[in-house]
Amino acid sequence: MNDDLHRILLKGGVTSPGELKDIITMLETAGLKEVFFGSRQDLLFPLENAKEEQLERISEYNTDIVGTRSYQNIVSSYVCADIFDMTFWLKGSTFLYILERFNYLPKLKINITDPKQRLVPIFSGNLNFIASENEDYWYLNVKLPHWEKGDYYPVLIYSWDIDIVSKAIEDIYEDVENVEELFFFLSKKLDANNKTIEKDLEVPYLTFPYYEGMNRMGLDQYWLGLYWRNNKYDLKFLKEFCGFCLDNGIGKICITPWKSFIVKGIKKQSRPGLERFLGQRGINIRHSQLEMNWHLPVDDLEALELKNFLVLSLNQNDISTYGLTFGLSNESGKRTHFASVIIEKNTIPTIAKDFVIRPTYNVLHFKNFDPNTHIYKAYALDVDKIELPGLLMELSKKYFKQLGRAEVVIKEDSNNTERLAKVVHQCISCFTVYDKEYGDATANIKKNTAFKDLPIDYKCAVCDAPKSNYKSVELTIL
Amino acid sequence: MQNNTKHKTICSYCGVGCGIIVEKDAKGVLTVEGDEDYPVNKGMLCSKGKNLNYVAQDTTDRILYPEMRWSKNHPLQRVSWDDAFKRAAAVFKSIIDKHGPDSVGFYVSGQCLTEEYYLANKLIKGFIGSNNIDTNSRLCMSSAVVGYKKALGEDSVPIAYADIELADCFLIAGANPAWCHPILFRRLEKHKEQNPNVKIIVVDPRKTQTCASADLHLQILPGTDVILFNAIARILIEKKKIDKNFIKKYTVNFEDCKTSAFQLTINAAAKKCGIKAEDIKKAALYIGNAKGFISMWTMGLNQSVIGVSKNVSLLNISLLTGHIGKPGSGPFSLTGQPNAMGGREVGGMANLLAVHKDLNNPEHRKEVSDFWGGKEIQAKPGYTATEMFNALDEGKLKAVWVICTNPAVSMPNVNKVERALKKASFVVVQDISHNSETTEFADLLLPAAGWLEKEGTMTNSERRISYLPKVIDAPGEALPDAEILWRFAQEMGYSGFNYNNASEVYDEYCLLTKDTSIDISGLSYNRLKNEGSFQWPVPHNNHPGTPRLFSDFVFNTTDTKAHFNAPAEIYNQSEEINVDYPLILNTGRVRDQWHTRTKTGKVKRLLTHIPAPYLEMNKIDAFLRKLKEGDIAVIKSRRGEVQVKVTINYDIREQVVFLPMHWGKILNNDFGRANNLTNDIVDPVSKEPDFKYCAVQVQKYVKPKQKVVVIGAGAAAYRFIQSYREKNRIDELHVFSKEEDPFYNRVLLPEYVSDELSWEALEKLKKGELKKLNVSLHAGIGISKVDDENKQVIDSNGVSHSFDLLIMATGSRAFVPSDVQINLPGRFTMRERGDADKLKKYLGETGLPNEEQHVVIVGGGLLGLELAAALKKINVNISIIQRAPRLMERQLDSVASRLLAQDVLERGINLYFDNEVSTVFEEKTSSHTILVNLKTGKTIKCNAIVYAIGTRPNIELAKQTKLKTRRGVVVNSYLQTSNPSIFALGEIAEFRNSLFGITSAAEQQADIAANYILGDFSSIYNGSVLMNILKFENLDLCSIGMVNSPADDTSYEEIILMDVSKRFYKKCIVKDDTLKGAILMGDKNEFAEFKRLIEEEIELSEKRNELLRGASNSAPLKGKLICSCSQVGEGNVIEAVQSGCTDFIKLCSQTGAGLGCGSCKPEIKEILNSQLQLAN
Repeated sequence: MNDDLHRILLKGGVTSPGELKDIITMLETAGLKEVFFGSRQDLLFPLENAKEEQLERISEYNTDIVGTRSYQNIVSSYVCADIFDMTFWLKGSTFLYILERFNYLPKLKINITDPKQRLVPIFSGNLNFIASENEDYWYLNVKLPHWEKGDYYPVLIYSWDIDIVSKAIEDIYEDVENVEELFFFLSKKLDANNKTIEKDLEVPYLTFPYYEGMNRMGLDQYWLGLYWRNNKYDLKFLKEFCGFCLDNGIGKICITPWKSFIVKGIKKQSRPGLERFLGQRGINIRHSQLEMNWHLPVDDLEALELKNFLVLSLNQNDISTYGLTFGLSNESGKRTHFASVIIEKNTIPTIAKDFVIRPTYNVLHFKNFDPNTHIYKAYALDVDKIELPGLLMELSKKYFKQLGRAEVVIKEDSNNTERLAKVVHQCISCFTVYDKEYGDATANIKKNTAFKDLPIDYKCAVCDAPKSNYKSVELTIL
Repeated sequence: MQNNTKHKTICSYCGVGCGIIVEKDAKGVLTVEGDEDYPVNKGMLCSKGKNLNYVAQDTTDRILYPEMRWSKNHPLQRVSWDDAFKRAAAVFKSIIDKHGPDSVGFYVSGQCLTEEYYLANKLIKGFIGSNNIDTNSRLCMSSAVVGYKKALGEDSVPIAYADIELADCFLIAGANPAWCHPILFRRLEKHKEQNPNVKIIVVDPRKTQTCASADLHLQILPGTDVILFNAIARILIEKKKIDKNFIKKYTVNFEDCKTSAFQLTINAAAKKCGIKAEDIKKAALYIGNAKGFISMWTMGLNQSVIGVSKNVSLLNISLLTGHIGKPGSGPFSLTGQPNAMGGREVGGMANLLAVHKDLNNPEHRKEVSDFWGGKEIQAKPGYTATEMFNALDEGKLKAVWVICTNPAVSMPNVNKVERALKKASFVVVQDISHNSETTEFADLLLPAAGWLEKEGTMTNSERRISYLPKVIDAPGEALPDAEILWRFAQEMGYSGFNYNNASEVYDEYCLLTKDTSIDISGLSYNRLKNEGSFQWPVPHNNHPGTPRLFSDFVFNTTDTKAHFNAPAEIYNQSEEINVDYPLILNTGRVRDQWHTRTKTGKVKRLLTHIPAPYLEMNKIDAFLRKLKEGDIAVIKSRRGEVQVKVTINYDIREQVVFLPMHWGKILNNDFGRANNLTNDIVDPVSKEPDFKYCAVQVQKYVKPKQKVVVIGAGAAAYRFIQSYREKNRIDELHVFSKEEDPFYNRVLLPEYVSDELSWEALEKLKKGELKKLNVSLHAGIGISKVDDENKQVIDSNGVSHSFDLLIMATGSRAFVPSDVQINLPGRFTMRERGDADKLKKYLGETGLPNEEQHVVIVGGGLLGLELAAALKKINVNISIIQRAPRLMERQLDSVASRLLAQDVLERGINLYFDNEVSTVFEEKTSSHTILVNLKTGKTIKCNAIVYAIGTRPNIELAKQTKLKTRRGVVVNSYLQTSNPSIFALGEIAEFRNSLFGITSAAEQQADIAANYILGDFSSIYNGSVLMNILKFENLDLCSIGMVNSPADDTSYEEIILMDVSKRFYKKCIVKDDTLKGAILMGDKNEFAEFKRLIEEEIELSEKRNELLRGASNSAPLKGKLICSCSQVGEGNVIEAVQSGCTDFIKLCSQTGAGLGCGSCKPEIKEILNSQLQLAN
């Protein structure tokens, strides 16, 4: 894979033209011409280790170059702020305030997202902070590296505690087996401002948005998304683009997890200049959705070829994939994808290594094609490459057939869920129940008095029937 | 619009029974208007009826599914209807088996439809075999029923409303129709307007709103009605103003009446009544000379221990003058409930049989039981309302089924009723709303369908029967009451309850009336739907109905004559007043509320008139008790007490006090429940309770002296000590202020920095005022520790101070990112005077002229912008660094932000959006110069940088004290923290998950906490509406409440008016016909009105059109500017005071001054005081 690539972690996928320009200068000094965008909204590039420190010294922004895989970028949905729907209290700056407080490099994958957007994966991290309906409080979905599956932290986390909580988890996580333990440890360690969960997180199903091109934003502004087919971003172009941003008062550049970038807040009067700028450099915008909804391993030629092959077939057959996303993966069994359809390349068995074997693929999709369900469904296993286009077309049809008809989940009344059948005594005349859990205050019977221990002259409080009138029954009651 | 449907129905409030047209639009939204074709109201509706659509559409309070306790010890839990019926039937069967049929009972309501009433009556009398059914009509009508029966032989209102326009003299006794039967009263008012010779006599111990139209108000002592009516009778007889012919031919017992009337001389009577003899004579003269005479009465006569005597003595007057059975004449009892009459017709009371048959008559009983095919009907009357609860209390009655009424508020001596409900073996409550306090006592809670959700019929006060259609579906699993009753009867195994719909029930009932005096065998749902309403009797199916009874002077008595009745009691038999309980308490209704408020309490528009319980008393009684308007009084009777504010006037008689009866428990406190006090003695015949007369004592609420320590000296603390001292001069007040300068206007710091305002202008307390307030100020001393166990605080000097109550108003501090080295030169925040002074001094030290100074402000919120504008005004160069893509991101929507940014740029202020400060360095080469590097790569060379990016609440002290904290200090509706003797106010108070970091909220909280501490339990906090006003020269901009409607919620609507080039922008967000938020730019004249609409969540109704058209009608600014937020001048305030607005809060809301940031309130107060002094 791309383990040999070096990275620059852009916290939350947010950088500014000044910072990016500074980074590009570093990379150019290292003799690089291109940079890749990573799925954790970071920058990736090949580099010999020796150069790290030397380059870091050039940076005016104290940018770190990360050579090992042990550190992870923080993913955030800042990129969606102001251009897609948002949870009512969230603002773009909320993310910036939270990101600013992280003063350490996390080893765990941290995602900080708004559940009302679909561009940035919500559950792909180890610590997934998801905005709740309560202002300044977040759900925390935890899936530590050694855990089989994720689970929700039992309380909501306060915005200003996200960094402290993350750091505290980082310090102890290896010994923690489940969220209850985690909550126990953290409660002892931290004085955090938690809040009880009033209702479970509901992530609405949203179709995947179109994230490229020049789009209107508010009254008189625009946002621009740029996408490169091969994920090789030309440093010279990027540097000039930063210059353009600086001249036009554009303050932020955001990397998406889909290996593209977005700038927001382009003034109306800057738009012609920007179009000229892009045109002069031969930049094509308005790519087809067919090719933009793919998620590929970085710098993986084989994957790119496979994608191009599949896109071509879909295009030739006029298949719509709007709303769907596809992921290619070399790790079968990996369960942190965030595309609605996954094409896994099977690992070649070691025993066959010396033979030339055509690779086989598995096609999986998420339940209802919604990655946020965390439920994978295998669609086809061990198929040949040549079968893939046909399978994807079938899936596309399947997707549109179920779209908007998503099964209505009948929510059990929370009142009901707590009810368990239990053995109590019931008056056969008036159905009044004696339950030792409650006792009978009307007859001065204390709680936890067993029925057999009731006095012989105990009478039904409602109809005065004798104790013998009570029979043992199993009832589903509170 | 073509999808709208219209439905004719009847109002569900009082007995007038107005016709309503309900319109349902395509989305299911309801609107109501009066039915112009309906003879009762001819299109008119009162405030309550006009808002019925809101009551029907707000289902938040509704009971949605059956709930049951498996025993008294179990919690209520949801069950299916089947399980509910099975249990109910099992319980009733077991109890009846063991203790007999008289051990169960039904307590029903005058709000039940006729069909429901009929079924309940049939069920208990005909099948269970007990007469234990009574109704809340017992509490309001039973004395009138007895009166009618005694005089006319039957419970029949003889007249029609149409007689009002034909009469020329009205005697209104013990009633306030102006408030309680408004539409009927408007007919009367109009009639008098058009015919000024019409005379209206009002008999009432209070000068009510009805008196405004009266020619004569007889303000008698409570309980002297019989004496008065007898005196009038005596004068009529003496002056020969009686109809001898009528008396001779059509009446009996005249002599009894005469004997009774002649017991007292007129002068003696006048003295007993506490009025002038001439006034009695005048009244008698009006009546004696009338061509058409109508008497009207309600609770003042009925709710009395001598209610029957009062009724018969009044009826005697109609008989003496022969004013009955002819147009424009007759006795006319007004009913309080929409179907009290229907209930009486089906016999829904303990001593009645169905269809006006006689329970005492074995033949009648047999006729009915044969018709029903059930058990033999018992002769013995059942328990009446008060008897029923007494029997529960004594254990004689085991199970009670309550339908559509709230005895836990409405019964007299209600503490006893609560005790009885707790003691009952089994209580079924069948109702629509959890707001009914009685639901708490339910072992089985059954959800009923409400108005518009079921079909049926009702009879109003003039015997008019109307059909009410089902228009909307009931929420959840709620069922029509009739269906609940017949399904229960089926579960009990009773035959004769196999109905398919309400129409079948009605047909059965109509058949039963055949050949009785209330014969409506000619009626059916079809006729009522097609031909409209009818006045009974309607004996055959093309009969047009009967507007007026007894026009043949044949009465329903056995001898067909009308009977004079000597009142059994002339003198009142209520409990006596004595030195301990020297005042007489009268209870009653107020205009916009109805009964126990389970419906009217839901409509915000109806809460604005009189929002909380109060005691009305005479100025002299108040003076004797040192009570002033608005003071808290404790009212005690022999049975209980209440504690409410007093309203003082001369409208109520001396020695009489009045308390509205609507309020039950508020926040689980029964401080305002009138029936804590009332007496449960009853009239011996009608069994109606003596609500209108009980002996009480009223005292000023005296709080034991306490020492109150306030931490902090900001807006909340300032307001708290002011409000506290207005009502309490005794308690010790201590204020600890960490800052040397307490009580100044923080929001004006920008103008202080720019030298536009002097420090004195920021100070809220002028010299000497603190002394006047008698507050010990500990300036420059903070509190470092609270020892809540020993009730002590330790100040920053290590000194301890004890307290009884602690008020934490520690405010907030400026937020500075952790990596900012704020202590280095050139870096500032702007929170306290010290910050402002430092910045001023520093800028002075640069030695540069203003136009060469450059200040970078981090943060484009209110403070950042106002500081920028103030400094720019004196020509300092300004750059604002804003992390967000727009200004005032939280307080404005993107359009308003954009327009504001244009304005800011035109002022010559530089704006950097989406930008953050990366590093700040001092320039080595020159002093007072720093370099601010932005993350975009830009470097700004400037003299100073001010961080204005928000604040953080100071809750550390509360945390140390182990008070419950989250983002702030958690408080309840009284601003109490988790420790009841510690309160938190202002920026640190977290109420229902929200912090309200604005001055107006802090002040509101301070008032509420102060009033609550001083004994006002109706002082309740419900949160504040956030609002922001930008104080910019030449730019009006404010936002209130919500600024963006939720994207995916279609129940929100946005109303937008915009003129971009003129910087005019107005946006209103509306949901469920209430205003939720607004942005006003370019013109904020409507600020005060919008603020009120949003805060009080008042239903917009016709206001909505004004919102759209945006016509502003506020006065132009006059004189020196006082309030910059709302642009109100000294002249405006003075004018308002001179025109009679002398209450501070009213003055603010009338002029709009002080409603924004509130910093001008001290000035307004000073103007008010000086104007008042001038006037004196």
